[in-house]
Amino acid sequence: MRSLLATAGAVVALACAPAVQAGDKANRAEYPVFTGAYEPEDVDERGLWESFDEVERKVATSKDLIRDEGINQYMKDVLCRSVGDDRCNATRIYVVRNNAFNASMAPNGMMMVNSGLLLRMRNEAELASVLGHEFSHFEQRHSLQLFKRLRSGSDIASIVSVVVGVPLGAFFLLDVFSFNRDMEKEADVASADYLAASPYASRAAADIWVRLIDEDDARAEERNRRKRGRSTGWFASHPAPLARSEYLARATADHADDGDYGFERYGETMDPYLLTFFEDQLQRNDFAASKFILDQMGGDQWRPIHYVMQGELYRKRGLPRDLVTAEEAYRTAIEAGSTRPEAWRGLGLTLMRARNREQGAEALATYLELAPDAPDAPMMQMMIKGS
Amino acid sequence: MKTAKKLSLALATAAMAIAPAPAFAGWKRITTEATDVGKGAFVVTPQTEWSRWSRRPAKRGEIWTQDGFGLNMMHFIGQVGDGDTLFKDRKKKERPMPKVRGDMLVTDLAELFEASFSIEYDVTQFDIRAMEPSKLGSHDAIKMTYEFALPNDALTRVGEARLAKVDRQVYLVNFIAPELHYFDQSIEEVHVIMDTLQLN
Repeated sequence: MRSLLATAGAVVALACAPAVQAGDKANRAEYPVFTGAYEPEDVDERGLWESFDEVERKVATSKDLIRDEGINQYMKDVLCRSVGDDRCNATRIYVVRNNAFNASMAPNGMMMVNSGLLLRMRNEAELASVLGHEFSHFEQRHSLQLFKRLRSGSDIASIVSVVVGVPLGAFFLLDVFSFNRDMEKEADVASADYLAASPYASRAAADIWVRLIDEDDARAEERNRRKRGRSTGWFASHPAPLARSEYLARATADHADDGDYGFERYGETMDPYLLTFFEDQLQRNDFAASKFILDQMGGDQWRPIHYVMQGELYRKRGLPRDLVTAEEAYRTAIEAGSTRPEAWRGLGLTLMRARNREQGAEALATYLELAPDAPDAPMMQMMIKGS
Repeated sequence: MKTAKKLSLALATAAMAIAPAPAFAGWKRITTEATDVGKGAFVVTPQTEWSRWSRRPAKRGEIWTQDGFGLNMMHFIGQVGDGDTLFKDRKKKERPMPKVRGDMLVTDLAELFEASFSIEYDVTQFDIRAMEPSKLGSHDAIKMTYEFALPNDALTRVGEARLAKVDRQVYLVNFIAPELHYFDQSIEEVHVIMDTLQLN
């Protein structure tokens, strides 16, 4: 059931965002026929749903679940715009703090989306494409198909998944139901159809996969390892990103339209979460890929939060030349109006490491004025006194 | 192919996939006497008995537990020099560990630990509860208390780490346990250990 792989970030008051008007998009296609509420049809499917209901109960109480109402409502709204109001209400979306680019769909309508995926999306249309992909796994009952193959014993890979998955406890179900390549392709094509019928720009879907390849290229070069993503391995559960970008580009070309990308809505919604999600990414000691993600996120419209993130990226690597870049980034963020205390904290620590202790102490003092109850306040006070 | 044969093949394949699990991991009892830890990087005198895992987290490091790693775990890692990693850099191509740099501030050590620990244990969420000046043995140190999550795990796990830099070498003692019962059960003794140990 583990499926997608994608990119991008998360937040709030989406309710206030202007709704996309369905009539905005020229050449708008029709949604596939919806046959009504999706319910389990036979004993197999009912059993499957019940098993995943138990998994869902555990997911709902997991420590790394993001419970903020704003981001959760936003995700639901985007899904509804992507697949249509009549379809989307059958699902529940759970956003999880995990820096990996991933999302998944369970047969009972439980969708999980990683914060690492949100960090890598550039706009709302891309997110809509990913959510539509996951939803199509649900609508096309891919998990049930896997379950029936598993029970008939005709699918070795499924049996292996069961055996390997057991130590993971109840969550092994998530591994057992890793969709296969054909299902992933089917879901990709279905999501292109959803996007074509939605108010969103169909072209958004293919770009995600090109960027995924480029991100891994950056990582591979830094780590001096082989580049990936251009061919599909024998045992791969997903088509290679390059293949996905190619057939998605062809599919969306059929639906050429001038739909909405939702850049601003996505940016406004995600801004409060971006720094946290990016800090999670920085914990992976993955400089080149993190820089790539940030460059793609900012594009040619960097906001103050992007400069704070750039400062964190370079300060945490900490080479002498990085400290120069980090200082400049924090100062740019502050001059551009950033009110995030982290900008002053980062600037202060950067200056101190560069042996400019006096100015560093001043910046840290400003940090403490902005965030007097910060958890590291006692440490920062000591740094100021020791300067 | 008959189903039984397929199943055998599948089980064999699965067994091969699982095989890289650590071989020869063993345990040694740690008594309440003064004990050399991390190949002499520390001298520690615990108040109660602990168990030491034979697999080292670092060249000069040890991991102790009382009730099993899922319930409590204490790391001792010492004498980490410029250019070295806190935890062993076992997967350099896939999950490289960050390295100690000589010019790091004491707050940089906290971030170094946060990243290293997250990579080592596949932590998905690491949030600092408090960060303050402290001591490790008789040396100035940074103390951080934090909570973290493991993938799909409902438990709130908390930790307390102290890091010090002495003669350009980094020392770490870190204790983690579920917040429910187990952290409070051992933290007083852990504090005594952190306060009284000797760094070499």
